[in-house]
Amino acid sequence: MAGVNARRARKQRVLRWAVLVVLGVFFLLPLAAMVEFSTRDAQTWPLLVNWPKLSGTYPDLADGIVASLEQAGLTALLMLVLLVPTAIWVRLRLPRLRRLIEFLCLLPLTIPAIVLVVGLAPVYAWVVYFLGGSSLTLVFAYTILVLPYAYRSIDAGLAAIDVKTLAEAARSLGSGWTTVIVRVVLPNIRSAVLSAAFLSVALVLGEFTIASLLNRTNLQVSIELLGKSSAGMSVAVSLTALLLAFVLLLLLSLLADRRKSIKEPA
Amino acid sequence: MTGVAVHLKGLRRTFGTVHALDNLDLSIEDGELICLLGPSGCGKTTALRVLAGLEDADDGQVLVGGKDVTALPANKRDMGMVFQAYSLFPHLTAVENIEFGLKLRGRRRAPGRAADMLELVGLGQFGARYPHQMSGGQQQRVALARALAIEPAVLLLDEPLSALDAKVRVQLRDEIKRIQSSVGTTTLFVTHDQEEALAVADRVGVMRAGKLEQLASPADVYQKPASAFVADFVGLSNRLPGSVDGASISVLGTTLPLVSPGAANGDATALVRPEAVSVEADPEGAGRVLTCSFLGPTSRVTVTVGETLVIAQVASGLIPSLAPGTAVCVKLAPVPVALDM
Repeated sequence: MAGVNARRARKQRVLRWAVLVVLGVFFLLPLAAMVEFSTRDAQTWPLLVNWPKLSGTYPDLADGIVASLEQAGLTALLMLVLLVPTAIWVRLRLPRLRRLIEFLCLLPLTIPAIVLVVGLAPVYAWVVYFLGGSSLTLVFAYTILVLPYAYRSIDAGLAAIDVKTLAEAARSLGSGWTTVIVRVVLPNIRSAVLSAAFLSVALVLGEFTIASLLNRTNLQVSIELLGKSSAGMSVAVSLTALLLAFVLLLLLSLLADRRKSIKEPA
Repeated sequence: MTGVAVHLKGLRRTFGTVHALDNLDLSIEDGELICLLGPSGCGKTTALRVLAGLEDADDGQVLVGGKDVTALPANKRDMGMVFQAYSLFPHLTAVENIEFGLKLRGRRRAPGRAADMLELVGLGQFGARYPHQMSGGQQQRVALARALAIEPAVLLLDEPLSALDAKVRVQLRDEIKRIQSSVGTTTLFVTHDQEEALAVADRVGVMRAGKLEQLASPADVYQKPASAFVADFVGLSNRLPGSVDGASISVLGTTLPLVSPGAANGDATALVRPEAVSVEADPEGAGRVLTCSFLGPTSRVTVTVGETLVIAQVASGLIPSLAPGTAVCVKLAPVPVALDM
């Protein structure tokens, strides 16, 4: 009996490793290929970390990087400004609207980016008319794009605390609504807000379709453009963007872990 | 420091078709602790929330210290509140929680005051603890300290003890009474636990369907219930058939005075407290013991007299003589009783 069990355990261990190796190869091989390809020219990586020289050599790429970083930051900011008070208000005052808001926020997930662009194009004609054609105007579209992820995250954060009682306690102690949100609710959903922001940043840094179809600049658009003239550099930049996204997601799961360990009663 | 008087005048509040408050009038004198008691859904919490400004009344007035605050938002009303659910801010320590309200009022002496308040609720050593590092009872004490730190005109307690276990509940309720009388803040305490209400209140208001059925001292509410509902809700009552004759009613062969005379003569149901019933083993007696339940110092004995069930509260020492099936005679003490209309 013991022998049968030991054999089964060994079999399972082998299977587990096999799955791990296959998946590892599947995911890591392209990355390894990217590393190999981008290091063929010894100049590529030193150039990438030398910002003044990089922006001189590839001005389009530099523009794309700056545009993407700005878009990511502004999108996260706009998303938080719109979503945090809304989510709190819905929980406090309009609980019946929660389903509707959730549905609305999840909609962008079900609509392919290309369809979204068709709908957005006429809207953007007006945006251009009022705000000009800057790549930063993409922030509006991106804010919609990140809604599903950000809303889920913030709503989960709010579900974990008793918003109503905390808000009422703060009100009875003399705080106005702004103080309630900034000093009572926000500090208690900090990790949820951070993860919403990280997800937004990661998503915006990887966005290509909308920017490309609306003829705007961002990182992915410039990488694609660069691929036509300097393949090595474009792959190096892609790899860097990918690693940055990994780091963001890693930070996110670390934050989630910490939140869990704080929740454990002492 | 003394409190201020509070008047609720003609408050109405409906949720859909339910009248949570139905023309409620309530006056709390300065420094007084009034308990609103009633079954769930009777409107007691709504009354407190309207007073706090967390709920709007459809109609009526809220006067605090003679000033009409009906239109003021909650954060401008100067009231301290302790909630049923744990309401300490999780990201702040006990001291920071207490300082929260003080800082909003721009008080410079916040640190000293917060420490004093912690002392007052007996948690002087716990200032640096976060809420999740404290027990439920400790959290509610800090919540009480936080509510009192801002020296509110009125203290509102919304079932603050209902989440705690029995022993802590009794301890903390005595402490609330002690602190309230030492601070002298006008207090409204809402609870569905009659024992709690009778123990802490200067006056108890029994509510039913958005209205105040009776507002009186705990002893009066218990001994002279204004209505059958009050008699039934506060304490345990036997419903015994009898016949009214003027200002008294004859029940099981004993004539008992009525709490509120004026009922028509004839058959009626009297509400008799178990402690007003005594039973004695008596082979000639008309009653038979059905069950006995031991409650510690006293025991509860259920007796059948003909068709009628009578519950008596007796000293536990008598239990050995009252085995189920024993013939007993049932006697009623001549204390005033209410009628079930």
